[in-house]
Amino acid sequence: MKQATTLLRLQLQKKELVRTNMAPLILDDDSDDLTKQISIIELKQKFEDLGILGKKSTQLARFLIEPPSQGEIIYNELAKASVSDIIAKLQKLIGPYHLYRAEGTAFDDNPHYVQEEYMKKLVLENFGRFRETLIEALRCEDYDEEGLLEFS
Amino acid sequence: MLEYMLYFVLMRSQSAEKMQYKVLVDLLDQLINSQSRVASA
Repeated sequence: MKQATTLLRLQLQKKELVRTNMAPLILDDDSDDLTKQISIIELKQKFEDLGILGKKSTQLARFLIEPPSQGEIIYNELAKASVSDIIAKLQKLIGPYHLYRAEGTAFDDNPHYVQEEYMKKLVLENFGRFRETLIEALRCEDYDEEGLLEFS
Repeated sequence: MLEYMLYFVLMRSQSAEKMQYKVLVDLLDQLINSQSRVASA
């Protein structure tokens, strides 16, 4: 679940959606109806479109839609919950996060944003001396030597 | 910071299934070179 959660957070950051406006991540482009009911199978498809594949998309959709229960729940892919309820659970699951802005752009004082230049400075401070180690670690996971890694 | 590094790569990749990690190495090289230039100036 942690990898799926991290990927969702990255997709929110990529789409520049702040924590209080996550709904567009799971709503269609032309909708802003938070009362809309979404089924497990629909939410699973949304997650797959965002890069969460296989069982993880189903597990995450079930977690967000099925009611909390200590007993066994019979899986029903047509079970639904409102967008607002799904988002409330998603906010708790993902936790706080920042968006990133290039230096000099319009929202420099917006508390939701962190300057990319600041983050790059941290990258240099922490990895500048370990360039070769970082490359080696990345290549170790690149089994096909294509310069590509799967987020999984 | 690791989250930012993932974000940096994802923003420059086709998808989460094809994360082009070379862009991270390029970023690091660029930052190291900038630092070297500042130090030698």
